[in-house]
Amino acid sequence: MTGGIRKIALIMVFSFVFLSLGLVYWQVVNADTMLENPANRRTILLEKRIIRGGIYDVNGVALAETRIDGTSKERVYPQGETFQPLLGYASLEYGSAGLEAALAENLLGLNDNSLVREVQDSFDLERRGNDVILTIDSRLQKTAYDGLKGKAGAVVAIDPRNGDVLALVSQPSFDANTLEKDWEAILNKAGSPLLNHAFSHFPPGSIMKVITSAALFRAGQDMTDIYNCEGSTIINGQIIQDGQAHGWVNYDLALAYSCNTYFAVHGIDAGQDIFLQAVSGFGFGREIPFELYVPPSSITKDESLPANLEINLFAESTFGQGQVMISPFHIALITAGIANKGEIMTPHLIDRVINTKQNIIYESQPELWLTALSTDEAEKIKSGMILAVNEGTASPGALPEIQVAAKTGSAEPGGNKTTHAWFIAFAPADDPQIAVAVLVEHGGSGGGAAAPIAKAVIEKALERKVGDS
Amino acid sequence: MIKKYRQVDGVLLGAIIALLLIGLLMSYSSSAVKGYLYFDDPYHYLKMEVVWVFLGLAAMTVALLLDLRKLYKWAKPILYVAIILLIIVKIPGLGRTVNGATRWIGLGPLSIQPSEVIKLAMVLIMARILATNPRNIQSFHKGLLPCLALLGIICMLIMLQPDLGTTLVIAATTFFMLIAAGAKIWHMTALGTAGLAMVVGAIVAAPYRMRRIFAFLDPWADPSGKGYQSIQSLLALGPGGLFGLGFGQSRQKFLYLPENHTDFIFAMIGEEFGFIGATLVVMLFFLIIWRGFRIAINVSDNFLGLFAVGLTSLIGIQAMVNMGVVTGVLPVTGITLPFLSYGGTSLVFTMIGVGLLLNISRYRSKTEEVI
Repeated sequence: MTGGIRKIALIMVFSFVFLSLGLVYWQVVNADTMLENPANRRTILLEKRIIRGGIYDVNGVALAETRIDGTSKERVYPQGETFQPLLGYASLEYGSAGLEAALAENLLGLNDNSLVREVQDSFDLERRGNDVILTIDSRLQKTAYDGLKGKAGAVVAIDPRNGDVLALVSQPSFDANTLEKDWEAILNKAGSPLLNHAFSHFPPGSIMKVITSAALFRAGQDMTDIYNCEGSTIINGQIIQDGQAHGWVNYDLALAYSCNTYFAVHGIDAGQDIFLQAVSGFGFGREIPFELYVPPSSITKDESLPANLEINLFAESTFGQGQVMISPFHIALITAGIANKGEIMTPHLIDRVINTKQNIIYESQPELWLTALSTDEAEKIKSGMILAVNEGTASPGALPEIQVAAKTGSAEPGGNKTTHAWFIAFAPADDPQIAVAVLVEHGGSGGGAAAPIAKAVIEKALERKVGDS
Repeated sequence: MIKKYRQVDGVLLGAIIALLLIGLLMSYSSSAVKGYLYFDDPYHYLKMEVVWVFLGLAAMTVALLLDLRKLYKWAKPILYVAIILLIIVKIPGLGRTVNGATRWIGLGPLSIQPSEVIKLAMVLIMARILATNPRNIQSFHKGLLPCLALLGIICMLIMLQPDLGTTLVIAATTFFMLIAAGAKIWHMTALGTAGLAMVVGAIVAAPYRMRRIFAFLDPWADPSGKGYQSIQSLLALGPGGLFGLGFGQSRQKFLYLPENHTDFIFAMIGEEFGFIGATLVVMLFFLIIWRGFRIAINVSDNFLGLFAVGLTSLIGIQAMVNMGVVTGVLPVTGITLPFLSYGGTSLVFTMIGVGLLLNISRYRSKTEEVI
């Protein structure tokens, strides 16, 4: 009998080892991934017990609130579609998305991990979460929304001095007040209303030239050197075309007229090492430190920056075609960086978080993210962007009494579709207070479709500043 | 039968007491939220569990003092009673149905799980059969076939409830006892294959088992439905990490993990005390199994040895299956973790089992007999 018992003891030992490996796997190897897992329904289920805090704009205008009527709770979004999909939703049925998901810890008051709170959590069934005040100005948001309504695309406005996001519009959008009723319709609507287009990837087109400029300067390109644009040039057997021959141009004029051949020829001269270093300095291939996830911008189909660029692809990249992909949000940040003397501030959506006792438990602070350009380089690009407004392609973005610096882009999405219209701008040029990026998907030319929206947002923002003082 | 001779196995008793204490601690921590919500008293389940632990200790003491010769004689009547209970539970009005399975017989405020009774009765009768004619086991017709026929009937009755977890535990325990009694390995391998085929058959027959199996293979495929329990269990283990969140700090106990104080108590231990705590519990069970098999090897009487093997296997297999479910290496079967899971009859019958094991440890060993 002893022999038999030894056999089963062996089976037992083997099973125990197997079991222990399971424990090691989940508790030691894989521990961190568990908390982040989207199947972790904890926060959503907490909705039943905790009254979600409100979300307000920088002036205290309610963007999302939980209204209590007797025993029933209702999450309302007073601004309707204007703030979607930025705000997102928190639905027991469909999960959560947008800021409602990203700020759940704050809104549900879970980020206070004191023992006292843990005990309260166990037994205090009706608890109120924290209120979140955003950096967004609902008046600017409304202006941007009105401009983009009915189209597809995104508008992002940032205060270049501190990284505060002033407006973030994505179209098409939806009304979260009727989310559960309209779910199927929202899902099936063209243009993906649930997707935030400000965080989606698009080819930048000529907007890229402000980035390529940095490479040109670093390779010793003199702004006053002139170049004869003949309307097209051949690089390694590939024809690079401009819409028209721009004639003799210096740097300012090349940017103002958006001359492809100038940037391709001089970009190739600068070399891929300097070019890739410059785009890396602007944040390509990096995750943007932000309250919401923004996919890293890329030069090739790889998420990380390539070690080597094939020469034809490199030439196309200099003016934002080829495989270059960037989000409207990142472009707005780059614009803000140029406006802020080359320093890109870490973007913020949260201004502050206030608990139920009206104490501020979190307040965002201005922080430097990247030094993309030297002051001198930023000034040079700015002068080109000013010329673009005063004499070049960006003239539809000009304002009567305020000097705007801007750049247009008409990016080819491929497949003979109408180009994406881009417009980036900041103002006032000598003391920038707002940087804007506008994308109108398949909108045609940047100056035609996107510039008026940027102009309206800038006008609104600066009119408010005048009114405040 | 030989005479009682020695002290009870102190290491075994120590491991049992340690597990009981951990069980009490965890039954409070894991059920405080539920107790507050359903009974307006966070200590509700703890109070109940304290009562059950004392009942269990009393039952263990009785089992410890029992005359095992009488038990040998009563093996058959006990089996009949257990079988009758299994049938009664299916009679409408007498059995209580929870979560689609009829497993309880209500007796006033108490409830009895016939499947708990049959576990002990089965181990007892198998030990008796195998010990009576030790040589028969070498033969398929005389030895194995009658045992398997009995096992088959019992398993069918349990599957009527239905209770796949208990069926598996009883089948595996019986197989362990057959191997210990000296059954030929190739017999057992062939039977194991056949048994596996039957399990697969049982799973295919009831769609809800099918779904559970699929959930086990890929719980993430349906995180809010079929894979829910598995995932929530892993979501408890993961954040526990190496050292745990600390006593009372479990997040999953806020009603995310169903049955957290019963079938998934091990996940709570892993969450609050981390890998270290979970490993300690695994080691304690390992200790119990080691001492159990040691008792079985040392005792000179064949019946007592096989009985000890059966009792040890019951606890060991059930613990292993439960912990396997929690760690995601086995599908969700719905059986408790001995000593630790909240639950009255389950605990009492486990305690009777270890009481009997401790009782056997007091009998004279082979080596001492030689001296």
